[in-house]
Amino acid sequence: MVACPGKVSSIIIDPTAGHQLVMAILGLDKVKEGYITVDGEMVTYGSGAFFRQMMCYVPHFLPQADMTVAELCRQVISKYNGKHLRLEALTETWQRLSINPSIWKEKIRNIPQSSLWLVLLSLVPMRKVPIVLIEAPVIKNETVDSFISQLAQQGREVICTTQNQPLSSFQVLNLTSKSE
Amino acid sequence: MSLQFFGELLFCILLLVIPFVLDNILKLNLSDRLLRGSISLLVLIGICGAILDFVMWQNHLWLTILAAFIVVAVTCIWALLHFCLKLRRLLIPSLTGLLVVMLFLAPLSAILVTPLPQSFSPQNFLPIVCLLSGSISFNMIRGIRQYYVGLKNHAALYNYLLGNGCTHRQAVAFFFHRSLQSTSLWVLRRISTTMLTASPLLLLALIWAGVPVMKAAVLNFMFFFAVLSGSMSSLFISLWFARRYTFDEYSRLQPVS
Repeated sequence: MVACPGKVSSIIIDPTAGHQLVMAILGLDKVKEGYITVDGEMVTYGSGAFFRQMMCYVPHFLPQADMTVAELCRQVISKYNGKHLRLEALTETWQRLSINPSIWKEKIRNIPQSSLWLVLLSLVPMRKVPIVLIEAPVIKNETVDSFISQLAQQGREVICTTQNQPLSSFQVLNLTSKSE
Repeated sequence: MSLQFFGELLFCILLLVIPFVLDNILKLNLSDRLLRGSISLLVLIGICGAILDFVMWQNHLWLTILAAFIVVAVTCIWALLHFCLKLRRLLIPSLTGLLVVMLFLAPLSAILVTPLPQSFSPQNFLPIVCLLSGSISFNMIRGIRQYYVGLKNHAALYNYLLGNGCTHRQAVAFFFHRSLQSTSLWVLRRISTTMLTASPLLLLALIWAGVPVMKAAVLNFMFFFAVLSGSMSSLFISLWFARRYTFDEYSRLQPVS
């Protein structure tokens, strides 16, 4: 499978295997068979740290850590002058994704997992990176679908793993055991 | 050995009889634990006493330093075993952290308690090393455990931060802060409880050693803050050293317990 810039590529896969696949693309897990390349270079434990600078990762789940949404957002994009990130910088994206701005100061353990996932998704445009990895979207509706499509239209390669019902994609790869 | 020594020993045994009698009357099912605890305490104090007696008999500076090193290493291993952490992975980093801190704290405290040149005599130096090392090592290892438990339970957050281009240092910063915060709060809480237990004992020992009351009070105060700063700095150093032993090449946390 080759992910193309400007397109959404979906992989239908079991959740556990999907997580391992995303970790392998990020260079955080071993590839038992086959290989993963970025711009023709193999993703290994040595090159992983470099390639992760070019990637944005949206996980399926985040633990209920004792930190606020603001702290989480600032920590994620701290490398990109995000230490002083203010809610105003995210207002437009949050409006598009229908995120309530009042959760900015809430502890992440106090907000629903679906809202937290939308917050993580809303941070993607803040980072100007060419590759976006989305692991098993928690919410699949038209708004999310069009938001992800727009991310791709801005020139990003969007790779999205899902257990079923892929988002509107340029290509879909089925890796579930049923397909074998 | 004097008659008074045996008298004191007999008094200790008599004191131990009281919980056994209460256990027998009230059927508390504590006799096994009481017996095990008492015997292990007796063995430990016996070993410490024998080592101190031998070092005092030799009265050699290098032997005193070697004994101090052994005390630090033993307390560190003991604390790791107590918190069920793997010696293979964490002994070197935790011992490094503890030794670096003890290298500064122990001589300074010894000089403050007893003026030079008696500061480094075994009877003055070794009890200070035992006191500091015992207190600091348990707080430090507790902090290390907090750090790794946090990382294990919140692995998704760690992966998320790494996956978004954060360096290892940035990805573990949250857990690092939490561990330091938890350790300092724990030590402060313990200080407030030991004010009523260990503190008077320490004061008594200092006054017996001929230290004036006011100076003994100041030294007592200093001891608690030495434990607080020692615990935090040794934790900081240990976690900094532990990275290469507890994470694999893919930055994945290895089992530590």
